[in-house]
Order: sequence, then structure tokens, then C-alpha cells
Amino acid sequence: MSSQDNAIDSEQICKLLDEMTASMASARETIGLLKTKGPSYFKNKDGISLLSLKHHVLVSYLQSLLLVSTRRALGNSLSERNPPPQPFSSSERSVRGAGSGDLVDQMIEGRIVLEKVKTLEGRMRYQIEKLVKAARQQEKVESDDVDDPLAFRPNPQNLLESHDHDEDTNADIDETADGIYRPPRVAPMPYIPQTTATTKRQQRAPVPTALASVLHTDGSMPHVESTSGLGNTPSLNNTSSRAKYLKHLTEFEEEQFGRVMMGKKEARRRARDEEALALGGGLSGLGEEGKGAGRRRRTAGGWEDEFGDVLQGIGRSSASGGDGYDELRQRGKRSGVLERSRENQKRTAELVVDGEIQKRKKSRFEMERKRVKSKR
Amino acid sequence: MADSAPVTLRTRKFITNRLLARRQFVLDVLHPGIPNVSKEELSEKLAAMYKTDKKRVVTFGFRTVFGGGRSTGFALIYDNEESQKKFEPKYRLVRSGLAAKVEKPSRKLRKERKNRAKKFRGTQKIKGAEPAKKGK
Repeated sequence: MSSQDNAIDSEQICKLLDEMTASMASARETIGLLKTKGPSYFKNKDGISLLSLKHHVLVSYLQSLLLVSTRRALGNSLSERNPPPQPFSSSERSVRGAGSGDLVDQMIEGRIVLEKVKTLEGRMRYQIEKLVKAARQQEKVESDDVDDPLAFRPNPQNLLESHDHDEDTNADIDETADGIYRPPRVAPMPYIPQTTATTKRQQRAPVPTALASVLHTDGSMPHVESTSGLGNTPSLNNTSSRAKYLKHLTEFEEEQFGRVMMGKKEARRRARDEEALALGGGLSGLGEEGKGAGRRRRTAGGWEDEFGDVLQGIGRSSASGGDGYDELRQRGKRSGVLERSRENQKRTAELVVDGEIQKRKKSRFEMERKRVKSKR
Repeated sequence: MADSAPVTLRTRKFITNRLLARRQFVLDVLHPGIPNVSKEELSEKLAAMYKTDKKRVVTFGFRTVFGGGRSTGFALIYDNEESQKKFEPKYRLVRSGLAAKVEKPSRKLRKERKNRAKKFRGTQKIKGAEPAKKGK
């Protein structure tokens, strides 16, 4: 086993040595290049720059590392120190001694300097990037200002060079030669009235009450049945606010142990609405204000639906027996020639006109007839 | 009039009101076949149920539901007569016969008399309150 280890070790060592010779050869090449540049290349009359400081510090770090490793390999201790008396901040600091401890100190120093340089570089990142970009760009490529993120930095120089602005024509400021302001031309658009939720609801057909319960039933839940067996009538659902109000009213009265004071109209309306609910019909309108348009909207079920045909027959002076059914029968029959021609005339008169519906011009005969009727 | 079916009384929300010395509840009357049950009959039945005098029982506010057969109202049973006279409103006492109705001339007449009397001072008011006699 030890022989195998030795074999592996020797292989690794050979590899390492080869790598080292290759890297040393490449380093020699670059040093040769630098030598040809001449001493003027390395002159720093303004002092060493931040970017080259990194390189110098790194090189010295590598030097010290190499020396320390060789001395350690030879067996010397690393504690021989000969530190300079002055502190780091003074510029007249003398060179360190050549002891191994000094080299270690130098490495530590270099590391700290590199860390500080890193933070300084972060602050100068923008300028550095600009310089790098300028160095890379050989020809002036017209880059899009929008794409280039570095172009959005505020440039105070633009404020000074105002006489150069005649060349730059801004598309936004369109000024004619005489300096008159011309408003922008707007294309005509058709007027589309806004459809609010209420108008949409009004235009849509209302859900039929037979299917209204389907809206509220949940398919995943089991079928619910009531003890009275009446099912999902609108009054039971209490969908209309009027129904809810009446229910609330009865509960309130029972709780307060007394009837609520109501006028004749209110009491009559309440009785009528309760009748409608009892017959299984829905109610429209909010709370106490099911008045006016809300009331006239006839919802399904209720008193009118149940007895409408009979009730509407009362008080009608018709040629038929006074019954609603008879009136329906009469209506089903074809009317006479005169009536039919009148109906057709009215219909055709409206159809003929394209744009607006004009009123039918009444003939002399019609006017006379009207007058006779009103006189009677 | 014979009842086609017996009348059923159901009490709900029963409260013993110690402050007003009475027991009060919501009364459901089931009367199929009859239009409704009179208040006197109801107070008799309640008196029999709660073993009190029928004069102590007060019923009011009955409304028959649409379709008939059921009406809902309120009922009170007082502990004694003096508490009843103290706490009941006048009109209900008149209904049950414990108080007499105050006969007043009509409101309009009263106001007219007052306005006529405003023109006079002192004992002349009484004479002046009468309307001027119409000429024959």
C-alpha cells in the first residue's frame, strides 16, 4: 500500500512541477513584454493610482507568500521580526526587515489594504466602468440612449452649453418659425355612452324566478329541503329587500311587544306585500321605499299573478261577458278590415322613414273624428 | 255558531315583568274555519289557562295572516287590579271596562271655543265662548 501511495504522490508531484514550469514560462513572457515597454511606462508623477495599487499590492503579497513558504519548507521559524518604528500612516516609514515574521506582517498589511481598496472601488464603480467602456469602444457606435444605462446620469455640463441646443431638435417641442403655439390635432372619436353596472343590469333580462334558486344552490352541498315543503320561493329566500324588511318588521314587533305605528297607506301596502309573499311571489324595491318605479316592476308570483285574470276582468266595460277570459277570446279573433288597415298603415308609416321616426300626418277626416269623440 | 275545529292558543316569548307587575307574551291563535276569535273569548280562555280573573287579562294587536286560520297578537296578565289601573293606558282600560271614557266635544270645537274666548276677559269668557247667535 505504501508503494501505491508513493506512486500516487510521485504522479501528483510530477503534475505540480509541470504546472509550475508552465506558469513560470508564461510569467517570464509577460515580464519580457513589460521590459520592452521601457521605464517611462512605469513613471507615476501623480502618484500611484487606485487600480494599479491593487496590482502592486497583490504582487508583493505573492512575493512574501513565496518566501514564507520556502523558509518554512527549509525549517526556519516564522517569528523573526524586525518591525519599523513608525506607524503605517506616516509616509517616512522605513522598509521592513527581512525576517520571516516581517514577511507575515507584510502579507497581513497587504490583505487589509486590498479590502479597503475594494470598498473604494465600489464607490468609484461608475467612473471605472465608463473608462473601461471608452477603452473598449474603438469606433463611435451610435448606441441607443434608452438601452445604455450609463447614459442617464445627470450631466451638469448640459446646462452650460445652451448655445449648442439649436442643433438638437427635440421632437416634443414643435415650434414654428413665428412662435405661435399650435395645439395638437386630435382625431375625432365616436361617443360611446358608458355602461355602468346599473344600466347593464337594466338592459339584461331578469333571471326567471323558477331558475332563481339555482343561483343560490351549491352543487357540492347536499340538497336542502324545508319542513313546510314549499321549497325555494322568493319570499323564503328573502332575496328582495322589501321581503327582508317585512320580516324584520314582524320580528321587531314581536320583540317590542307592540305594533308599529303606520299610516293607512303604509298599512295597506304592508298587507298587500304580505299577501304577495304568502302566495309565493317575489317583491321588488328597497325596504320602505318600494314606491314608484320599484313597485310597478311586477315580479313573478304574488297576488296579481294568482288572481290577475279574474281581477283584471272586474270593472271592464267590454262587449264580452265582463270576464278576462272572454276578453282574451275576443282579442284572438281577427279584427275587421278597417281596423286591420289602420294597424298596417301605422306599421308601414314607421318603417318607411329611415333616419328618424316621424309622426304620421293626420288627415282631415281623422282630425274631425277626434273632435267628435272629445265632444262626446 | 259551532266551531268546526277547536281553537288552539300558543304562547311565545313569555316574560314575567316584575316592574309592571304582569306577565306578557306573544299569542298565536289557530282557528281554522273561523275568520278570527274575539278578544273576550281569548281573555276567557287565557284566564282559564293561567287561573286568573278574566278581567286581569288584556289582549291587543291581533293580525290575521293571509289565507286565514291563524292570527298573532299580544296578551298581558296583571297581578292585581290596582297595578292594572296604574300601568295600563287609558284606552285599554276603557276597553276592559275599568275606566270610563271621557266625553269631550270634538277637538275642533274645543279650539274654536278657546279662540272665541280669547277675545274676552274674566267671567265674560264663558258667555263669549258661545258662538254668535245666527239671526233668525
